[in-house]
Amino acid sequence: MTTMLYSNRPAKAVQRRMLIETCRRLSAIAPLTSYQYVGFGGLEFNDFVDAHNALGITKMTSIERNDGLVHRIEFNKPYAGMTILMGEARDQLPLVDWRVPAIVWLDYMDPLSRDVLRDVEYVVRTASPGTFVAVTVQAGLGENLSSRVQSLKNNLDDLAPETLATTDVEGWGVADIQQEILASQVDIYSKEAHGSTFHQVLDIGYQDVARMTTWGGVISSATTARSIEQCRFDDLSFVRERGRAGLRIKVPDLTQKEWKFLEHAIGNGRDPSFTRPKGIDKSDVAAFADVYRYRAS
Amino acid sequence: MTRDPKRVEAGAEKRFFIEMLTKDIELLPAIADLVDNSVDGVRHRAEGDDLSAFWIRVNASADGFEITDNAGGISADIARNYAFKFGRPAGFAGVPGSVGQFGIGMKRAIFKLGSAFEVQSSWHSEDSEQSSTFLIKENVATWAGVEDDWSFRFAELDERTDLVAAGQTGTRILVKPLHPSVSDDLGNAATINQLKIELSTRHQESLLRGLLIEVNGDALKGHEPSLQMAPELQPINRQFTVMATQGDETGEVRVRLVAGTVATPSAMRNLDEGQASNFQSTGDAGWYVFCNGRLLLAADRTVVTGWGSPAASYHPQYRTFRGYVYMESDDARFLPWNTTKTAVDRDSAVFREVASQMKVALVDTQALINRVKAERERVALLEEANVPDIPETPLVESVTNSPNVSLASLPVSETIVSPASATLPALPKVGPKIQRIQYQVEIERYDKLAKILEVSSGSELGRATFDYVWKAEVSE
Repeated sequence: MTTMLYSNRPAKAVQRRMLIETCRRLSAIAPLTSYQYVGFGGLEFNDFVDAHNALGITKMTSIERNDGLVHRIEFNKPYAGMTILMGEARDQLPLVDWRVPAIVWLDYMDPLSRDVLRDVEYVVRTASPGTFVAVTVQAGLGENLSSRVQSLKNNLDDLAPETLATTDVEGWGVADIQQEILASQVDIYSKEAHGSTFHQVLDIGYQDVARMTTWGGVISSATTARSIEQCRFDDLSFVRERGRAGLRIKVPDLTQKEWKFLEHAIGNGRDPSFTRPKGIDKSDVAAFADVYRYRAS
Repeated sequence: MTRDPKRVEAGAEKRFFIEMLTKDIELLPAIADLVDNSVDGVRHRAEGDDLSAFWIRVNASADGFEITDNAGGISADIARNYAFKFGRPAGFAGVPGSVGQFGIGMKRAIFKLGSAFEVQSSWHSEDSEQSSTFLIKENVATWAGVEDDWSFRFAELDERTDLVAAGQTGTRILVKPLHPSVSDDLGNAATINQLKIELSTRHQESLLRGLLIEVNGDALKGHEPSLQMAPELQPINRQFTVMATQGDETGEVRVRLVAGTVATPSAMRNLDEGQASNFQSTGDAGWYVFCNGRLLLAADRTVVTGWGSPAASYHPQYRTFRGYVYMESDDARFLPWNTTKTAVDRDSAVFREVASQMKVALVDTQALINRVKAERERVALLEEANVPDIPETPLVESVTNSPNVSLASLPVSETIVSPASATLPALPKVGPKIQRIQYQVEIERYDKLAKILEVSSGSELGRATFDYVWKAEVSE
């Protein structure tokens, strides 16, 4: 639900590629063409184009709350056959046919809140096992540390940890707290509705304009647990199953030439941190290694 | 008699036991327990859905309490060995499809009500010539005074075959005299009215199936739940089974879940949400949950059934929501209720699974209500702005005009079926509001300033002076 251009947000593009790469693995559960894609396409629909080009999905639904955009959305939508639902997600999600397994990306600009959790809860309870659910929320909450603590409490009331120190919300602290709440809540919903905990796969933190996180995984049940194992998600280096610290990515600020050089170094089996061009920080090389394969072209 | 020196007394004192048993139950639920027992008997005896051959009569006044039924009666054998015991022995098979499973309801109700009672019953076996009649007549105070003997005695007993005709079986329980406070309550018309409401909501399903329940001579009416339905508008109406476990045993709970909206009276339609709530009782909105025909939750709008999470909290705009859940099991132990059978056991796995579907159904129905509201408001704004050619809004029309249809006549539908939202034109852009300013100055001062600001008219000067001050004081 945003109008900001993807090209200005390289880290966002990287996590999108990672998500799509993860979803390829769902073919162990059901043919990817039998999945539907549900997202908040905005005006750009990059995720929809990827879902079609990379995964072959044709049944797609985009939800958009800003009804002033209706004509631009109709112009920009990449596929004539896709469904556009105008309105609040909570009122439009029930119009999706949840009997069809889905890849659902609830891509918010806002931090985690009771409202966001309500949408997530609805999807997790309604969607059929084998459905992939990803949730993107903001994890910045402003500069001031004590106001971050207050915002967390305001957004999540009694779900926020009872005792929160300002040291808990430094750096990626807000992201870690939000992800823990999200993961444990989703486990509750999933257990009640499907009898199994949620199979977490992604916990990606990235930063363009603000700190953001994309968290997600697969709705599991007694009958799908085995095929979910067969997806072998943990073969993917960026996958973070429940219990592991989240992946926090950064797209280093490098020139084309530096980028190409490092790409060649890794491609030739050399450790780029030893052969890096002079003046480039070691941490940037490490960050590069995490993301270079998923950079937007 | 020599006593075993190693024996340590751990038995119960009867008076203490009576007090414990009755202190946590209120008068009306205690009476409802007695009626439940009769309803159980009826549902067990009935063949098929029709209960119109059966009746339960309650007479309550300051003088005493009496309940009579033709629900099949209690056999002398059951009375002798089980019916008056506190708690069901492990080997007791129970009554299929019944609500009474803990074996305390009848005694608790009797002790709650008064100090002396009679239980009289005529029984005839359903599959043989066996029959019996008995009368038990006890004074509670006398009984409680006898230590170590917990039994009652038959005052009359006859166990000959074909003693009573199969159609004339039944039970009568009389409690008289009542405890003074109970006597006060039952002498009060308001209490009797409460009792009628309690029994008619609790047993609405049995009443609708034809059972006659009378309280002080008035037949209770079953209120038939209904929801809006039209070919293009269908509520959720789904059936499924949930497997339940109790210890090592597994059983099946059959569930029917119905959720949708009710039609608002046409007079309410043109009022806004706030006004309408003043006129229409919102008390009926919410979830109704039944176990083996008994109502456990009525008009529930708490988080237990999804209000607040994942659905929105209750607000008058959702006053048309109604949801009904019927859970049935041949073995009452598998149903998710508490020991007094007055509320759902929200921790039970069965209820959690069912509640999960209720929560989703509530969000689905709220979404329908919200979409209608948004579309209705949008059309009102378009009309206000005189936008021509506003398209038809079949969704709003359908939800406004569809009639209520009884639950029994609803088609099966996994999801809510409704017309799509109309694609409405965008609202015309309204320019900023304008404030006109006018002021007068001496002509000399005007000429001087007009020269400095290089303007040639009064309106230009007015504009220029405003912009000058604006630039200096407001913008950077």
